Amino acid sequence: MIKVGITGGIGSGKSVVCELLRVYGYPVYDADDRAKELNNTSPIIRDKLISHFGKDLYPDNKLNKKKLANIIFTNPDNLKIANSIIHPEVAKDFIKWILEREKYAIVFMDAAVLLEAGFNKILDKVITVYAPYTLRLQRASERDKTDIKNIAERAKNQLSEEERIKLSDYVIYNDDTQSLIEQVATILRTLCNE
Amino acid sequence: MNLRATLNKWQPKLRAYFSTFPWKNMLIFVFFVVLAFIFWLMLFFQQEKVEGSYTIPLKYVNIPNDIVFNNPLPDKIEILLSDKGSEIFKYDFRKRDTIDIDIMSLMEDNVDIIQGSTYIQMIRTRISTTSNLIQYYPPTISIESSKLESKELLVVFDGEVNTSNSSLVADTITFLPEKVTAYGSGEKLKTLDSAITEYSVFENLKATSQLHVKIKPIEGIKFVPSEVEAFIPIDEYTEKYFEIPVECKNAPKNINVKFFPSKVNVSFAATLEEYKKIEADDFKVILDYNQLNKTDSSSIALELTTYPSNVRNIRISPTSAEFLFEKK
Repeated sequence: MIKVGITGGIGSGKSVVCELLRVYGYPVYDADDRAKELNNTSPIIRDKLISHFGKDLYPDNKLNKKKLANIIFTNPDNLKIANSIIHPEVAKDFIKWILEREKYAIVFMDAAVLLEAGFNKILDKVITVYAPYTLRLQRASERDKTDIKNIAERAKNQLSEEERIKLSDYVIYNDDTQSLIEQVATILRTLCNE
Repeated sequence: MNLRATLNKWQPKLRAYFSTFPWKNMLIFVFFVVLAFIFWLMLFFQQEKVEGSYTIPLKYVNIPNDIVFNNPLPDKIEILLSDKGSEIFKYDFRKRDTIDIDIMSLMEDNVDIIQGSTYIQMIRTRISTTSNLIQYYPPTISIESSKLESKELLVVFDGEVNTSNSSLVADTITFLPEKVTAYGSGEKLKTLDSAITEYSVFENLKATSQLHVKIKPIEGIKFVPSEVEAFIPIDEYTEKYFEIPVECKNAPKNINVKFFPSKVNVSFAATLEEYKKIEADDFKVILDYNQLNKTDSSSIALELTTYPSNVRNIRISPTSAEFLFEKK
């Protein structure tokens, strides 16, 4: 089984690529969605977050997302602590998830912070979905109905495109000039032949 | 050296100079100058024949709309007159009244040129009875005119209307009156199908506005009225967004068409009143399978196939999508 990670900056079009992979019949693990789920269900995450940031973080046994966001986005050290608690649990969850999908030759993990979280260490290949900066800002601003400035602020916290591409095995250009379907099909053919 | 130091230095010298100045002699001198001026004035006032030149402004009233003057009309008369010095002196300080020339009544009397006694009489109404009119210019005023043809034209706006951020022009601009009459030669009128306003820029309009606009002048054409009221309906708008699916029609039963992305963002502006009534289901992006099947490309341009008529500035993003046919 080949484990492939899909990553890309904000507004790059990762989810469209993943949508396409699902249509091709490949299972895609959505790390962001799973992390949100695990924040509420994993006792390990809960206990560690509470021990660091206090019991108020889980009123009624449910994570107060707003509070956590306040804690981690106002202090970079807190962000590091939270990531060091959540990311290993997501990685464990992914391993469990692929064990249930052993019949598939290729499985994918979709994660915006794939490289930052070190998920590439448990993956065989990494694909970066690339789009020019201004196009990404425009797409994300239209998708999230928010100001381009806010998107730019969020993009600042992400890895640069150059670094991301350097650490990747394949790059999909989603800049409206090349067909996504063709690029995905080519990568799938290459992976199947490996 | 500063000013204070300079003053301090010169003050004693100035004081010494003015204390020795012959004030008495100076006052006597001034008194006789004034006396001489008074005598001169008395002589001037008593003089019988003093000449003076003046201008009298002209105003033309009751001009029929359907005529054009063959010659340009003068806007003033220059006159030279003589009178007693005292009268001439008064002219110099008198506000000059305009002479109103009633074109309609002159035309009724078949007068084409104002001249001779009529003209002099007209001037005389504005000067003293004792004054002798020596000369006047122009010697005649020609009010000869030609009859014009007329045509009613719809007013068309030319310009820019910029609203404040939260407002938009809600409807077309209307005019009061909506038509104006153009007078001119038949040939020239044939070339006109509307009366265009002068290029006007209205900035930062926040509410429905009624504004004056002038009709753009055209040589040889007279517009009546030459100014109209532009009624610009402005409504407060607000932005709204929806995410709607890209759909396919006419696909065979065994084919599933998949679009990438499968959803598009629609943004639009709606009046506050309409804002709550508009729903995502009011917008549709539906592509025809037959059209997709024909194209060689795997990408297709997207556009809204259904949307409410009362929304403005509609945008969709992205504007194209890729597609795949999936066998069920």
